Amino acid sequence: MSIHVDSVSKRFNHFVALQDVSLAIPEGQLVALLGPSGSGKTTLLRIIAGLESPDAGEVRIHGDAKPSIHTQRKVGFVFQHYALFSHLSVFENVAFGLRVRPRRERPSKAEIAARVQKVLAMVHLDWAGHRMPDQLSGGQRQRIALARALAIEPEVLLLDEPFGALDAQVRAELRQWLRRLHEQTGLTSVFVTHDQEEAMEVADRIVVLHQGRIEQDGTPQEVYEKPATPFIYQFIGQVNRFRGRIRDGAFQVGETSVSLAGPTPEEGARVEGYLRPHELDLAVDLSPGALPATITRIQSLGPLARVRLSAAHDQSDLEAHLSADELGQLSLAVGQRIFVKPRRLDLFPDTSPRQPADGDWVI
Amino acid sequence: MADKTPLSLARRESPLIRGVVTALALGYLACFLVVPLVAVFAEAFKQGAAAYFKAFEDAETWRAIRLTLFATGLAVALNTTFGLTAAWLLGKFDFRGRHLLTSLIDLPFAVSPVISGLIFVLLFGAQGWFGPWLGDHDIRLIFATPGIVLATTFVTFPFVARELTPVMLAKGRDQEEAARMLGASGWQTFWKVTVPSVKWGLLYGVILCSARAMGEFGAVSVVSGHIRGETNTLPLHIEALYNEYQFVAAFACASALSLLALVTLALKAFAERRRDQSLNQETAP
Repeated sequence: MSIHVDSVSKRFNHFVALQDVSLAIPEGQLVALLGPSGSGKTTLLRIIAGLESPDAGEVRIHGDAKPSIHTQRKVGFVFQHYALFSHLSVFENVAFGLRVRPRRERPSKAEIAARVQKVLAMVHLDWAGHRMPDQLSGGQRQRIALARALAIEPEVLLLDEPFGALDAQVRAELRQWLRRLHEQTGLTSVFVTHDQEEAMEVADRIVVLHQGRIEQDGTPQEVYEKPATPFIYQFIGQVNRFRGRIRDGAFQVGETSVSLAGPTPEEGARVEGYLRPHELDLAVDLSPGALPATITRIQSLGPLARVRLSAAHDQSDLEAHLSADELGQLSLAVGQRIFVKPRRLDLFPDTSPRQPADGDWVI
Repeated sequence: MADKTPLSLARRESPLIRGVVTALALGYLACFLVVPLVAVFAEAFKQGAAAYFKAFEDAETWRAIRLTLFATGLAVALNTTFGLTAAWLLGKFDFRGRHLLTSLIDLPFAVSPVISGLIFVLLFGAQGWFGPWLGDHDIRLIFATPGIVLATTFVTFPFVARELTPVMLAKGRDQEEAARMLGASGWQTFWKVTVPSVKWGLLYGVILCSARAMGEFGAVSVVSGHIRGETNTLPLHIEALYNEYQFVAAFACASALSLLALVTLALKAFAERRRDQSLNQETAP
């Protein structure tokens, strides 16, 4: 089933959770709603599920405007804290969605037992049927919660920070498992996460939310390589930032003038330039467009070396990633003064309060 | 884990201080709880077991016991229904008037039981607001069993609701939302998820409510009219016997009431433990 979110807005008292959000998710896609806490991602998921009602706009699942009882049943929901029924065994938890059906639609006892066994086997917990939820570990409980959602044979699967309460190793395992499950079942799935790595690893498509709006919507690669806003640059992956202004068609940072490849903002504009750590070149000798900086730390991890630096013009922290070979050729040392050269820059208007230190007259 | 901290802190005090504080607490308990309880049984058996059991051969005593159990049963049934509904509303929903409902539930705690009884006399008594209408239709509430049930229900009104509301709040709404997402109706969710998840808290509330209902004196005293063998509950019957200097009979009945209280206490302790266990399960990671 496909999901259509049409200009949905939602506020809680004075807090605006969602502002005019529209989103279309085609059948079979695995989408991550990514954002910091308070960005509205969970509210959006709960509105799609029908657990909250939007103040404005509507959600259609498979084209139905108001989800009827019937479409409700086609939506599986997995909660962050599992929400297993603590007084029921694992088997009864998974069987719940089948047992509450009206008599006409309810499968026979044998069919229920067979189906419960089948989904428990899918989550590798077929041995746990008669256990109580509190006898299982967090990872096992979350898999039971998934099995319970899958038992009703949903056509849409919604997951609210499904691995948020688990430790790192279990989380990594479950992520891969969720990805495989998605490939097996082809369910249209939406999951909420604040963990960008999780979103990158699992999802076909990432929708980044910030302050109740969709900030960017694209494949993991697009979101990582072409962040639409400074917020996404800083939220996803590591980033270096240079502050400066446009002078004579070039980007003036401190004393250095960095030439620009793409379209240039208007003369005199205050701008911020962003780039990833692997896009920052290091050199021992001065060349045009290179900025002086001091090495504060060198960290060598197998094939990758991370060099942390302090920029000479404003003491801001920078990070460069290079291969172990490059590091060897440069023979760098902590405390050494060298030059950094951005290979490319993404420019955004600088909206921070004006700092008097960048060469202006202070009035 | 949490309840071990005060213990280890207490162990740091000197043995003398610990001894004195423990002795004070135990002495207090002995004076105000154990001695009166022992006295009740001692007085009841003062003239031997034969005299004790003779007290229960009296038809009026049996009538009082039956009336007490009847009023208790009905009051507890009504208050359980109401308390479950109110706790469910307060624990699972946000709505206008939440605070008003919470305060209203506590009202019977704030009002003296005698005043509660008087309110019913003023409302339903022969000279009361609805008295003439009730008289015309030949309905007797005051000085009759319905009045006793009404007064008992009013006084024990808060117990189940107050006990269940925090349990409902602690359980949160997750399980109900999960049930809803699995296609359960509101009715199914309530009976298959909400009620089982609070069952020990519910039992605890019911037991407290029963204990209070059985022992209720003030409000019932005002509405009963003290008609022997008709509208005397066990506590009223005990008072009547005592006032007539039938001490053995009075204390024998009092011992029966005390026994009921002890059984309730044991049940209460059991329900309380199970309730705390089920709450801990919930919060464990």
